[in-house]
Amino acid sequence: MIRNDLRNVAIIAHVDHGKTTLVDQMLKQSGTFRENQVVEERVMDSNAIERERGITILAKNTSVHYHGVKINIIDTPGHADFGGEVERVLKMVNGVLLLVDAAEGPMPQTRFVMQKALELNHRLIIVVNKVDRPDARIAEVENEILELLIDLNATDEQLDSPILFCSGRAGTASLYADKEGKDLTPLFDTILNHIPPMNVDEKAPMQLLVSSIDYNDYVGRIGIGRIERGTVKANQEVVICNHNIPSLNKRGKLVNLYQIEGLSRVATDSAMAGDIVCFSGLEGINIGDTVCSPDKVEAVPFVKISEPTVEMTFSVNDSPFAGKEGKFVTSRHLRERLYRELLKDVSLKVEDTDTAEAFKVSGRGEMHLSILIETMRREGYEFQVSTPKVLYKTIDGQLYEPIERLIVDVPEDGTGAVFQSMGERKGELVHMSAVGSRMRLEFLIPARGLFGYKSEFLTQTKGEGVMNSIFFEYQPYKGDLKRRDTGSLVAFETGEAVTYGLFNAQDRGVLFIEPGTQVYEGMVVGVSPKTEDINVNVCKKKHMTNTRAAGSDDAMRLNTPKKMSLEECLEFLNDDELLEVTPVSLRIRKRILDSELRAKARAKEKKA
Amino acid sequence: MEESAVQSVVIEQQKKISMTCVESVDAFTAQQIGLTLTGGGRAIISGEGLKIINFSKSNGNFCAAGKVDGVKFADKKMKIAKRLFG
Repeated sequence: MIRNDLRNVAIIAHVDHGKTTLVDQMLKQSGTFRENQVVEERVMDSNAIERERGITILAKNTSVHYHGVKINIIDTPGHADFGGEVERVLKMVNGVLLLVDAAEGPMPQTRFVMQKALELNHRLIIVVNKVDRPDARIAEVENEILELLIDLNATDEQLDSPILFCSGRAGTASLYADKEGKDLTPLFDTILNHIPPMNVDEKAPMQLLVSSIDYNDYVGRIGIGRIERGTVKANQEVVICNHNIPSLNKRGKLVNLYQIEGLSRVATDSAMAGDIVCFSGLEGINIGDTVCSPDKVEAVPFVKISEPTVEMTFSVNDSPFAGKEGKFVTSRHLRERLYRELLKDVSLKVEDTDTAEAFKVSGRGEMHLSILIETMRREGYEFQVSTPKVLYKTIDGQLYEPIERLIVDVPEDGTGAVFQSMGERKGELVHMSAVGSRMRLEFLIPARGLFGYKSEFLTQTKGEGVMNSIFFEYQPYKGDLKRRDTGSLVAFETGEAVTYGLFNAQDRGVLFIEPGTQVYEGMVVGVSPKTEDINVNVCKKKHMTNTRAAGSDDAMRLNTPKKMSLEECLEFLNDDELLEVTPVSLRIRKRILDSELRAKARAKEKKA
Repeated sequence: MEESAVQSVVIEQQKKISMTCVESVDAFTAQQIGLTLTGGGRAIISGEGLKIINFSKSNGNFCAAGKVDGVKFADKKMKIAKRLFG
């Protein structure tokens, strides 16, 4: 049976190329919102962090109705680090809208998701978005997209994909670059005409692949996926199996069944092959599982998610101020939260270590882990993290490390400095070209060479540079890299930082704290230009007892302290330092708090 | 890129230089650009206001603009000697 009443479409693009804004407009123009209903911008971004950063982290499902056809729309994360999400979502659809910014053109994540979509032989609709931008380069971007398609060995049919020119913000689409659209009708029509309806067998034994997982306290775990075959009914007896786990063959009852209508989930009694549905009642269901009817148990092959490349150690906060700001501070809390995250995030890995206080957490890059830290922090968790490390591999006795493909867009005068830094970080230039008035450089660089480079890059390019990277492959170890060449200013007394103490300390380097901040021994309060750490006493008070010459009491001017974001703190960490994360504050500390013990340990290290 | 490809240099009006069989760009400033060629030799372009317009490692094509004063090939003999006498 041909499901002419249904289309399943994913919207895929690079970070900030306007995916979610376009979905907002599609929902509005297809009548999902009543005229007087107040609609927050970026409706699909329900996560607070997503709203703040203006990025999509979790793929979400929604649907619209157009000319009697239900179009399931799936918004996908644009971040390279959440690649696991994109690959899973592509299994649920058979067509993709590929969004490219009319000024930025194709970027790393565009390349990554395009490659995935072409591999699955999905129909492609190319949307050049933000054509209303003053610096839009529509004709050039069109050529760049076609070059990229050729570079990715697209078939002739895929090379002939329709191209539309849209403005997500204005909600307009046009088939011609020089003609402005009135609304999104051309986009809806192209979806109906270019993306084929599914040919399904609704009488065959039921089979459903779980591509996403959600959770709520009432019904427990919710599985989300497309019905590959047959028909699903609420309260149906089913069997759970998995392509990668042949031994899994568990019976269960699919209690509740929901269809996606607009932004909400509507309970339904049954659904047919081709539909994307949500269901609950099957405890322990996981991404990649297949739900089948008992009379024919057959697992659907599942896209292998590439493994994590960066690792950090999450441990219980044992610094002097532990337990003062967080709600969840114990190792049981931390462990339970990390393992719960695994249920929703296939790209993450969590391992116990030899102590119950620490856990090894690995993900697909620094950004991936920093968003997990931020999320846990806002939920009230308090813990410590170590500096990020890459995950090596040994192949045929040789050490291999993860290599990233880095694309930078810089002003012309910034190329020299970037090229210099890349040389120091073992980056290899593979492509360089002029893009308008700017230069685009492409490097292959070890993942560890990118740690801490973002802030250096923004300084080099005076904030005008754009940098994106994506995992490329594992290659032989490239040799040692020059680590951070600055030292830390370490407080050697516990107490409150006062102006007098800070005034003396600021001569040694840039401070991170201001007067009134509570500090403890071993806490890092600033950065010193020298490579060695320097102990400073920021709690030192001015004794009132002795007399002073007139005028020596001039007002002490303090330099503005450097406020560090979570990413900057992670980039700053040395191997002998930890980052204390609480819902209220971020504190960098030395692993060994006592300055004498620390000095002994360093002496021993030098001897070894 | 095959080893047998012909390495060529084209300088147009002393304002633009194109080269083939370039393995990597080793360093560049407005006065000098250092390249490694696929044959193992090295080339140094000198001039004023030099700016790299295009380079692609996959096809070895390199292009730069600016006032080109000269191109010098280096280390080629030394490479061959090393190969013959180990």
